[in-house]
Amino acid sequence: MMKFREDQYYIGEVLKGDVNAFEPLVKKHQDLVFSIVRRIVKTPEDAEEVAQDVFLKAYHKLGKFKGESKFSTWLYRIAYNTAVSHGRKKKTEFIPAGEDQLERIPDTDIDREIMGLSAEEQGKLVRDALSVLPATENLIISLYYYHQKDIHEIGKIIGMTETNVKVKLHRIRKKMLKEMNHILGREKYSVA
Amino acid sequence: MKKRNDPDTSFFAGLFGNIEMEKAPEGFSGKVMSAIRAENATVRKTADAWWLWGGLIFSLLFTGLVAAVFMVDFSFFGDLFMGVELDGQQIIRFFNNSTSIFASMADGFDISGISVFIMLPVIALITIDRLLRKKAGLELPLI
Repeated sequence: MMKFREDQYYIGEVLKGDVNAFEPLVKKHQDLVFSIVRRIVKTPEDAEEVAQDVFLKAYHKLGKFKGESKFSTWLYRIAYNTAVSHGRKKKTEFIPAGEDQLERIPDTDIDREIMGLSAEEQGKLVRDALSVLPATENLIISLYYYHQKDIHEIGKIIGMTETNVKVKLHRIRKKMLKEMNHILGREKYSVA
Repeated sequence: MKKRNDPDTSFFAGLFGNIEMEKAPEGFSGKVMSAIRAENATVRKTADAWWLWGGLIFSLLFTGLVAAVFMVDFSFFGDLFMGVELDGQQIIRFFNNSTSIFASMADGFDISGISVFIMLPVIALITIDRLLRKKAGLELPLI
């Protein structure tokens, strides 16, 4: 695993005119940038193009980065905005969470049923449930549970207040539980 | 790992632990750096073009200055509109006649002959710019 210095070191070098100092920043953050973009942009080819665009924008705007937030947060915000902008151009549908759907979530405890599945089955179940979520909801819950970002940072990336992120997370969890319940009820779950 | 006060954390965090998120494709950073270097090369080209523009403008100004000095008989304190005699003919007459020609040309557009004289170098610069873009592939930032 490659060892990196603090982001601020590379930023300073780039601003001094060393273009190559930007490469470690790309390598350090490329996976999460790609993952954020991929939540919103549907095809891997488009996602790669948008992710490249994100780093180009970041490179050109680097002089404007004031260090008020972490570089990663600033970069992920660019990633989110660029991907959403791309989605709008491609007319990606951002489906709002249906309140009526949330109300119909059965009060059954499916936790035990899910935990009884194998790790591979659980992985597939989560992926399937994520796939039906609108892009931003998919991103919020992925940032929180998979990338372990805190509420404050997610808010900064998505452009929401912490309270909004908390409310969203609560709804997304309910929605995912409903979807997983639906998948489990529809058929005996098996890994393809 | 961040500590969160959320009753679902362990359950959902456990579930998410079983999936693998997409990673950037192989060679991604190389592609990004190539694009950045290519853009930097274009920026340098544009910067070079600034020097070219500076040179062109300086040349025009210098030519104008030489013409002015010539018109006042090589004296900075002479009368510009008196002109200088060359082979018994006043050069300034040619200048005045030219002004009249341009003024009459511009009459229909309600602009003065002087404006036409100001516009001429601009038109010349635009023409040079277009030629350079077409022939040399240079990007001039002014137009």
